[in-house]
Amino acid sequence: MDRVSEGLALGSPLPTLMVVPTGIGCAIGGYAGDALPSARLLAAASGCLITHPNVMNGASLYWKDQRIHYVEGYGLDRFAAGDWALRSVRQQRIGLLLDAGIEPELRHRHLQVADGCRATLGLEIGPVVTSDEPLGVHLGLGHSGASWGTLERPDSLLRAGERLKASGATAIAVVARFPDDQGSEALQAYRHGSGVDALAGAEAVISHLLVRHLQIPCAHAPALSVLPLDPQLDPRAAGEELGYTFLACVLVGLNQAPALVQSSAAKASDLLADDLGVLVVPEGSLGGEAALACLERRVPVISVANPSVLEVTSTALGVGSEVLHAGSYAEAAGLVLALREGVALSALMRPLSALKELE
Amino acid sequence: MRLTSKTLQLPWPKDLKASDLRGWLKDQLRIHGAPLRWAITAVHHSEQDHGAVLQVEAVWIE
Repeated sequence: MDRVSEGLALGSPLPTLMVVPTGIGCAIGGYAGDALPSARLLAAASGCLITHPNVMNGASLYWKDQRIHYVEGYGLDRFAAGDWALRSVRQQRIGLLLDAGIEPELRHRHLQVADGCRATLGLEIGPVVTSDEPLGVHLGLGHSGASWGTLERPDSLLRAGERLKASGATAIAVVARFPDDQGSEALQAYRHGSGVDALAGAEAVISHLLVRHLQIPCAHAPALSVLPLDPQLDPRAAGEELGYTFLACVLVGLNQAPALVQSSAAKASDLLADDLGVLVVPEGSLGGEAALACLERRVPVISVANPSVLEVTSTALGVGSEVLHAGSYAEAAGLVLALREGVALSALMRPLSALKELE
Repeated sequence: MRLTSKTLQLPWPKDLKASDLRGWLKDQLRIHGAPLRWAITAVHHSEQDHGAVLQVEAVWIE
């Protein structure tokens, strides 16, 4: 049976790409891994979900599901564009990259989380490398209100990543010292469930740099001082206030993150963009590379009502009639299941118009 | 190596479909360096000439 015929078997998994862009204030997925329940549902509906750390990372909270493939954003874009394939692994050896700008006590907290994940979860972690200079993270907001950020010393980050890879790491968890914010209006809005995650843009830049340079799975956790207790904390942000670090979810996610291989070197068992059955994306976020790549490759797209600061909708891009619309992730999961089971979507809606003969 | 971030306003060529935007945008972005992270963050439609301008926010490697 060839690759395409295999994918057509009734009830076989329908590889589904779920994107919730980071740092745009999505009502679902704009906080501490709060799109994870939606990802679990889509994984159950599709049997195979490819998604990224912003969806899966809840700081101290995480969820393992063999149907979910954890792929960093840059790798996800390369996969959607058809450049890279995803190869399942039993276990990654996770190198830990620590920013030289992290204070000794906070550094110890991170090392203890890594030790805890080794002892309690059986993860393969090590070696540990510290950057040769403080990385110098800067936060910023774009014209749209989305969070962006940069790094003063990207070379130092990449040198440390190279050392880890040369020492046998097959994936990298990176922890950079982020500027503390003990009470800005933006932070208060985020903690109360109405703002953009100001850290997210810079986090994405750090992990994108490493994945682009090393072509191995990487994910980032920010190192920050503990915030004072806020009794009004929104439940969606609560995952980030349970411990001293955001590292545990990153280590768990990377543990079985698929290897990233050139599509030209893919094996029959690897996942390729050609295998994608559908993309699920917030309705205002169709302007990212993965979404545009799916439009380019004629992969069916489901846009989900999930408000954010962006309004790059199917209507704005002139593709309203080509995109399926869902009012919630529950509805999107139903659409995914119908596609997987070969149920015509028109049969699920009313009115159902009569057949017309071609003139 | 240096990272820079900025916002571009790019007139959307009228004969270019949304399904062809990605490759065209990457060509436009490469004029400014190697694009690391980018997205269309707004589409401004003009009722006067039925054209549109794409707002693109990006981080480049220089």
